[in-house]
Amino acid sequence: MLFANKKKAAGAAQLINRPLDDKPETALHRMLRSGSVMFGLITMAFILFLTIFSQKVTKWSYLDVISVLRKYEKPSWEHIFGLDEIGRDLFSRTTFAGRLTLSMSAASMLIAIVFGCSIGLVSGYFPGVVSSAVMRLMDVLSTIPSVLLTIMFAAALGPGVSCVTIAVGITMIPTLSRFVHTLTVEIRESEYVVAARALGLKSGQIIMKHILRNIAAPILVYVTSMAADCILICSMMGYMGLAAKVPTPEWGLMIHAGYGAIRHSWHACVFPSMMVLLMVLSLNFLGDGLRDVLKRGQEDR
Amino acid sequence: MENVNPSSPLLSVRGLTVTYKGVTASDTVRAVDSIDYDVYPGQIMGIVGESGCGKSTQAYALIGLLGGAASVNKGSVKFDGHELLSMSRPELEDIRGARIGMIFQDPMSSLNPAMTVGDQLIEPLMRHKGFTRSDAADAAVQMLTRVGIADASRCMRRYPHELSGGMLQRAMISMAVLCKPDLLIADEPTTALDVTAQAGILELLKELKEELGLAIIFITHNFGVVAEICTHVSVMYAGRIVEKGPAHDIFHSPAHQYTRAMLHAIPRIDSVKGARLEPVPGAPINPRHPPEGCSFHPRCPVCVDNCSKLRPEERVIDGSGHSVCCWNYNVKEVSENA
Repeated sequence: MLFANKKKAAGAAQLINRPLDDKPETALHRMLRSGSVMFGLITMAFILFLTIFSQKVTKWSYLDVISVLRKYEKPSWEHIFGLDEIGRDLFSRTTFAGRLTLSMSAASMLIAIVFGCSIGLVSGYFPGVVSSAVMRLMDVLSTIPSVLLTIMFAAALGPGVSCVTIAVGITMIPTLSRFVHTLTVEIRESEYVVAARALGLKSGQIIMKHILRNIAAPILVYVTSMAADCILICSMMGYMGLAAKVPTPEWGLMIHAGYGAIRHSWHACVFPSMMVLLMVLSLNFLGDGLRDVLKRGQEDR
Repeated sequence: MENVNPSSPLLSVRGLTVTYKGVTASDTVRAVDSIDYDVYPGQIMGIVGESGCGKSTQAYALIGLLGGAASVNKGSVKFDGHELLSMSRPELEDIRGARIGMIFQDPMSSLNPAMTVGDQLIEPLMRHKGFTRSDAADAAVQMLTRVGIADASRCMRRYPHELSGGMLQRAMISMAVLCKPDLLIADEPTTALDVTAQAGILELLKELKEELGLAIIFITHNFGVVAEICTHVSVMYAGRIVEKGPAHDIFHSPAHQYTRAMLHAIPRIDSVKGARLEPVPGAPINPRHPPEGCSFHPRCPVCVDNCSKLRPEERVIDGSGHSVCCWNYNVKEVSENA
């Protein structure tokens, strides 16, 4: 899933030249009828709800040690996810940990979208030596596996939550900008862009109004699948101990802590993993569903 | 428009040459080969020729819309005294849409499918005239009504795929003339339409020409359309203008063999029933290896020695501006034919 960028690109590329549906209400209706979109949205909303109201839905605090003697206690009605390696409530910690992992992923996504789209759009609209050079650089970077690339950037920037976030964001830029570039090049030569130029519109206006609007749908689909990758890589960095430090709850870090005890206490590792899994799964379902919904909108015409 | 002197040409093209670069030097194609013509205010200049003769390419070159491998090699394009080819991009952007409008062949694909017709119509007004959104929308509704769209304000809210080709072409035309340009370049505006819609569009263009004092460059491969609308005609073959002059002269006393052959190949309402049309003999030239001399000589029925060696110069036929590029032309023959 993580390295399936090609497949993803192929799927999203089917939406080239296919703008977001004209009538928002019909696109919305189709979305509501699509099983995978609804599954993705509901699962995601559920996890986000748990994460945001983590400390309200459970009476246990994520920091309080209930009893060191009860470490690795199995799940019970009182502690539905059980207790962790030093006897803290695992449900409270797992749900609270989502805040860090998810906000890291969101911030890195934002970095990737802003820079990836700008690089792709500008280099796609203005062909030339600079544009080719930038795209070749992006090609080279996208041949490096993303985890490796993130570790590289994280090593350069130094460990820590914000540095890892930036590193993950930078890692996502090459493939996204490559994708946006391809879409832009295809639209650039289309007749309505030539017509817009014939009307004397400025390049910035043409890029924002005429090009971006028409490639928004495939970008949306691509970015949704990319968000899943972001969460995976962020958790991975946490697992390797590059991002958050103990005792900050973070999914990757918690998986790492539980992994050592997996033989006798499965729950300490499984529950945080489940959260990552569900989040990634819901995003992938959402991405697939959106692609179908937006594609079908085109075929209906 | 008010400040344009009607006795001097609005657009003056001299020696315009456009090439498409290939991968190797031998792939380079000279699509437009040093063409000259003038357009005066109030004229409708028809540029006629077969597919690939460079008629659209030269129009794109005029206002710097060439993309990809095509580039202008030499020549000059003077618009109302300003040299367009040496202008910077911002200067050219200020002229495009404001003083030179352009309409395209296929209105379906020349409008952005993701924007409403209205949003696209008001763009040039806001861009060039500094109109506010609502002022621009009012002007756009007026113009749409003027070009014959019944329910203009509803049309403004429609997306291109919801309108018919004829309506879209009307919307395109109103977009091109909203800023009251002096020159309108129409690149085969009726080719994608059926005959009824075509007649309507031609009528509209004629009316707009009178109302706004437009000069129009009308690019087409259809002599029938030319006869309908144009005051002047330039016939292009293989990147060159082979004959030009007032439309009446071109139709009644064509001087170039290519023009004659083309006119013979069109069905006429007064032709004898069952009579066969005469196709132009031969095939269009390979633009990578254009023939020496006159590019029409391999297909020309009256080819003489010079034709395959030297490129014919432009010869003036009479004072009305009728001229031809042909070695074999003589005044007497034409007047006999006429």
